[in-house]
Amino acid sequence: MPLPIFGKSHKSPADVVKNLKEALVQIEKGDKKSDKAIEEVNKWLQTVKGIIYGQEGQEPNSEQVAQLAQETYNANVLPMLIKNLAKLEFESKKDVAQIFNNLLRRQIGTRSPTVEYLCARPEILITLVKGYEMPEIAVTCGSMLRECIRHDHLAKVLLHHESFYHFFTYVEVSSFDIASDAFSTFKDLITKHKTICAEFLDTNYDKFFGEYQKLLNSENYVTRRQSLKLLGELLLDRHNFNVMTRYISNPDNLKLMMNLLREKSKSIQFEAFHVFKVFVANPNKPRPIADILLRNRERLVDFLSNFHNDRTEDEQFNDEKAYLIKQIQEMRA
Amino acid sequence: MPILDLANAGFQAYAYIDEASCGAVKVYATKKGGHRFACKMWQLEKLADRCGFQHAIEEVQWLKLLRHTNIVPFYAAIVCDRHILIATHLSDMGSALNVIEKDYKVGFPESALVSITKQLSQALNYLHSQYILHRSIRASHVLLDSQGGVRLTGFKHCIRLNEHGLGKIHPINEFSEHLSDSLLWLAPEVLSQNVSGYGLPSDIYSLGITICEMANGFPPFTDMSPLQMLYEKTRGTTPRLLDSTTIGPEGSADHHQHHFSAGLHKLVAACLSIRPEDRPNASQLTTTNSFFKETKRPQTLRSLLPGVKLITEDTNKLTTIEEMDDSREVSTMDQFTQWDF
Repeated sequence: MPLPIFGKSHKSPADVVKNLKEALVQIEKGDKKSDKAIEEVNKWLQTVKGIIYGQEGQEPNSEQVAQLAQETYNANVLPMLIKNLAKLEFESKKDVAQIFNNLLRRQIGTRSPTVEYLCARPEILITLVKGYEMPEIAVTCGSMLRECIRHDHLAKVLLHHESFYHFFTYVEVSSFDIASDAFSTFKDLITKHKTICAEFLDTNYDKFFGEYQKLLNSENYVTRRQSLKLLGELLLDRHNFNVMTRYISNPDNLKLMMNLLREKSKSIQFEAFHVFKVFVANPNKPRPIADILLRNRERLVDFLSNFHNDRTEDEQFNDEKAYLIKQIQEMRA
Repeated sequence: MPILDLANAGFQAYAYIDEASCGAVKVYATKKGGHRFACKMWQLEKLADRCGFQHAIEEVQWLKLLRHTNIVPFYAAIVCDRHILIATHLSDMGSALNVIEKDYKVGFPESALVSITKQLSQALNYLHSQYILHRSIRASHVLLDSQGGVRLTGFKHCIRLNEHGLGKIHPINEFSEHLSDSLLWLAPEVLSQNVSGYGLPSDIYSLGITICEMANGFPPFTDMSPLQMLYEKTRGTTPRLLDSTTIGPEGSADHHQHHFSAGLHKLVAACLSIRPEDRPNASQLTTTNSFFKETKRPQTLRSLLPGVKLITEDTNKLTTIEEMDDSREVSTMDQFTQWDF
């Protein structure tokens, strides 16, 4: 049946997906024809985009979109696109991400069919994570991952898979563009769905913070600064009360923060302050924590009195600082 | 496109190009092979506010996502001490603003303006076909290369319009504080921040202002307070190219020397139409047929702007190899406090 509304293409969604798949199979074979197939994929991805985004000035036809989505699931085109992503043309890679992200947002009533599809095939998610190891597709995979993480089911799958711990390596790679993208994905994973995240951090406390400590001690300034800031956010989130209690009971963590307060970077000092304050504000300080604070009482009071005095406009910071100084002064052995 | 392995290759700073809002832009070269590239250094300690840091990330992500002849090619980004270095292709004439300030104080000749406008429109057409709005078109973001032509940069304010996959392009209302560093170039509908919002045509308005900036040697409305500028823009005052036909006897003698064609005047007026829907779109601007006859054959920017001294020719600048110095940003606090653990 011709579909004049789609301009040049008179193909039905089923045909479009069939053609796309055939081209992808050619690419997988990797023979002489694959160059041609890469162009073909580029062309069919454009057509797919035309269907799901609509043409200029025209809303997409929901029936066509539904058909297209269904065909995509049936033909298992999504995993093929992701598996062969690195081989596709520059613009095609972006198209894949746009199509993938669009399909993920699709809802039928309360159902999200693409989410259900991916839940049944977690290996697709893991392939996306591994994408961070290939510079030419890292950021594209990152954008798809963050779209997945918006859905709690998919976030949970990713958190509980061993590949989650690869992120501790990805956020430290030397390419800033990749490392910062990995960091925002990592942050989404451990903050987006409060209950799931809190439960994860609580059960995996030792392993997680064992790795996290390395980020806080990283040679890379950006890693250090970002991970310190995120730590502050994690500890101050009420959902993470258990995690916070454990974290601020460990004297090694306190020592690390006190040392970071003396870093030569002012931004790092400032972020460290926001973690340090939690140790001091804790009304039930364990003995070892109280001991360290007491032993350094005079020095801390002096130090804090001169700490970032130029931040005169930040009222909250100044209130907190005054509170900490008072707390430390009033501590009794 | 060469892939620069900055982290391992080793590189040295050679010459200073410009001061951007976030830090200095310099010419660097790899130690091996001496491959030259431009490098923008984001001084992270200066960007103490957290959103400045976010801008660095966004700029890199956009640069990575865009690939077009008229968009500056991205090479690499690394963290180096307390800086982020963003390495891109070196445009040897610097930005259009550099050229105005150094060599063309009263503006560019028409042939150069036409060539630059066309190439900029191609970059905009590439962005707009993906529903990406640049939001910061200005001479300082237009890089000129003696052989390679025009390359657009300054992507930190980019925004995608159809994020949610709608067929119709919906206008947006977003006006974050950081847009204010380009107030002079922003379209009236962006500035008025009203419910009808703004869309792709707002970049065309900024292009119009940028053409005036390059033709006149300074951007229009420079002499006004922001409030007055806003008032003038929203009541429909359209800036013009300054030449013998548009300025009276009291105008500067230099601008009296200019004679721009009727076509160029028409093009600028169209871009600066107060109603967004009256402006030409980027694709229409890529062929300027409707405004004037096409030039017979394409000329290099080198021949169109012969007065420019290339960054790479400026040997005085190329001698010093400097260390990155941000000692001022380092805390002056007592770092000798020792904790007793």
